[in-house]
Amino acid sequence: MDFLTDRPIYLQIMDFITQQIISGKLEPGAKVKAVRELAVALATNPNTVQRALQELEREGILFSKRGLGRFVTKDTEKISHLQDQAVGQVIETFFAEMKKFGWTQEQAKDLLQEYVERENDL
Amino acid sequence: MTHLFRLFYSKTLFLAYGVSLFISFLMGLANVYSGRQQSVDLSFALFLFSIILYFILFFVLESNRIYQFFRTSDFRLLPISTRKLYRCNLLFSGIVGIVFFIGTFLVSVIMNYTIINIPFQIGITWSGIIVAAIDIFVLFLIVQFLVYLSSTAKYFVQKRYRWILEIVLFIVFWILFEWLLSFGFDLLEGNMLHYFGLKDNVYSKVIVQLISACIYFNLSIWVIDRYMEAGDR
Amino acid sequence: MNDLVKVEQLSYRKGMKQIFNALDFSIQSGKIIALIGENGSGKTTIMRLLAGLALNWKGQILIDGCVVGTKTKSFVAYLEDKNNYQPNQRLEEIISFYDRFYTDFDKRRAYELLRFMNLSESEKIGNLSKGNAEKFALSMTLARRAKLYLLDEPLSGVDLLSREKIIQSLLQWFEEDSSIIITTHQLREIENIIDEVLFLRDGKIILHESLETMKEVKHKDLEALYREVYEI
Repeated sequence: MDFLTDRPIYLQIMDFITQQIISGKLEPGAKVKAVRELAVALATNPNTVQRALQELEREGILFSKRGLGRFVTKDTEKISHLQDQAVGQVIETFFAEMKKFGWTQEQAKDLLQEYVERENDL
Repeated sequence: MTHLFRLFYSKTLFLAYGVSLFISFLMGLANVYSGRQQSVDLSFALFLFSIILYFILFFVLESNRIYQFFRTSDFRLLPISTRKLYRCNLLFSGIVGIVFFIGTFLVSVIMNYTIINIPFQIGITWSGIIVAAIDIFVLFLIVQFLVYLSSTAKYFVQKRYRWILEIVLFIVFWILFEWLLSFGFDLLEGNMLHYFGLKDNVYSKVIVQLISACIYFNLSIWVIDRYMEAGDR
Repeated sequence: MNDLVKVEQLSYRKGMKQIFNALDFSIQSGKIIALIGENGSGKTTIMRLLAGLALNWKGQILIDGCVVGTKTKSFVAYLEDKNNYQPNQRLEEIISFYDRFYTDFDKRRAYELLRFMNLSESEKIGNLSKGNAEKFALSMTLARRAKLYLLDEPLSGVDLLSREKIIQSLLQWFEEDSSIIITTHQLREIENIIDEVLFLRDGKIILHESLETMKEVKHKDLEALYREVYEI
C-alpha cells in the first residue's frame, strides 16, 4: 500500500482500517487480520501494524480476545459516531478548500446544491 | 570432523597432484628408454628429483589451499573454532600428502629401478623415516605460520616496503628452521640425556620437534583468529 | 526489552586507517533497522564486526549477551554484499552446505523460500541472473532461524520485481524475537518496513531514531531526513 512518507505510518494504517469499518468492508464483530498478515499485505513493518492495532484497541474501535485475535467492535453506535467524524472531516476539508478560493460557507453550500442538481438532471 | 573434508576437496587440487605422479612417470620413462647405459647414480638422481619436486608442489599447493580457506568468508562465518578448522585442514593435508607421496615414491621407484633392474637401496631406518616425516610436518607448520604472519603484517606496512618484509620473513624462516631447531635440540640434549639417561639422540630431537609443532600450531591459530580477516576488499 | 546488540566504546582500525573510535550503540530485539551512510562510511564494517569477520577490535561487542566470536556465529546470519559461491554449484548443494553446518538452518523453509522466489534447486548458481542470485542468497540467510540478520545491500543491482519479492519475504519470514539490520541506498523501498534508522558518517553515528518518531516530530520522510543529515 502506498503510504504518505512524511506522516507516521501507524496513523495511516489506523485511518485505513477505520475507513474499512465505516464503509462496511469490515463488519461489526468481524475478525481483523493478524499482525503479520496485515504487515505483508500492506508491505509495512509488523511493529508499526501492531502499534496501529493497539491504538485502535485503546480507542475502543477494536477489541481482542485472548488466543483468538482482534475483532471489530460490535458497538454500532460507536461505528456510526466514527462515520460522523469521518464525514465531518470531509465536509470540513470541503469548506476549507472553498474558503481558499474565496467563497464563504453560505456560498459554498449554494454551489454544492447547484452541482448536485446538475448531476441529477444528467 | 570428516564432514569438513568436503569443504577442502577440490578437483583441481587432485589434478595437480596427479601431475606430479605423471612427471615422475615421465622422468622414469626417459631413464628407461635412454640410449646411454643406465647408471645407479642417474637413477638415484631422478628418483630424488621426483621426490623433491613432489614436496615443493605439496608445500605450495597445500599452503595455498589452507591460506585461501581462511581467507574465504563463507568458511570463517561457520560456527566452528579456528582451532578445529585448522586441525582438520592439517589432517586433510597430511592424508593427501602421505597418499600422493607414496604414489610418487612408488611410481619413481618402479620407473627408475624395478623396470631396469637396478637394485633399490636406501640407507634409512624406520626411525629415520619417522624423524624425517616429523621434520617435514614441523617445516610445513612453520611455512604456514610465516604465510599467515606475512599476510597480516602487510597491513601494517606500506605497499612500497612489502617486498622487504617478504625477504625478511624468508630469512627469518631459514633461521628458525636451521638454527633454532638445532639450538633447541642441543639445549635439550644435555638435559634430556642427563635426566632420562637417553642413549638415542632421536628421541630428544623428536620431542623438540613436537614441542615446536605445538608452538607453531598455536601461534598460527592466534594470528588467524586475531589478525587474519576473510572477505575484505 | 533487552538489548540484542550492545556495542560499547568500539575502536577498529584497518591497516593504517582508523575506522571507528569509541563507537556506542545498541539494538533491541524484534526490530528492523536501516543502517544508512555514504559509501565508505563504515556500514559494511559494522556488519563485518557483528558477523565476526572483522578482527582485532577494541571495546565491547555483545550479541545476546555473548562476545562476538565462534559462538555468536551460530545465531548471526550475514548476507554479504558480494556473491561468494562457486559458479558450478547447484542450489541444492549450497542448501546442503548450510544444512550441514548450521544447526539453526531450516531446510523446509529454505525450499519454501526457493518456491516463493521461483527458483529451481537444480539450477547452477553461476547461471542465475543477478536478481535471482541475490534472491537465492537472501533465501539462504532467512532460512536460518537466527537472532540477528545482517543484510548488506540486499537490493542493490536487483530489478524492481525481485526487490519487491525480497521485501515481501523479509516481512513474511521475519522472526519476532530477532532483529534485522539492513544497509541500502534504496531509501524509498525500505522506508515502510523499518523501525529505526541509523545514520553513519565517517565512522560516527549521527542519528539513531525510530522512523515513526521522526515522522511525527519532523514530518519528514527518510529521503528528506537523509538530505537534512548529509547535505552540509
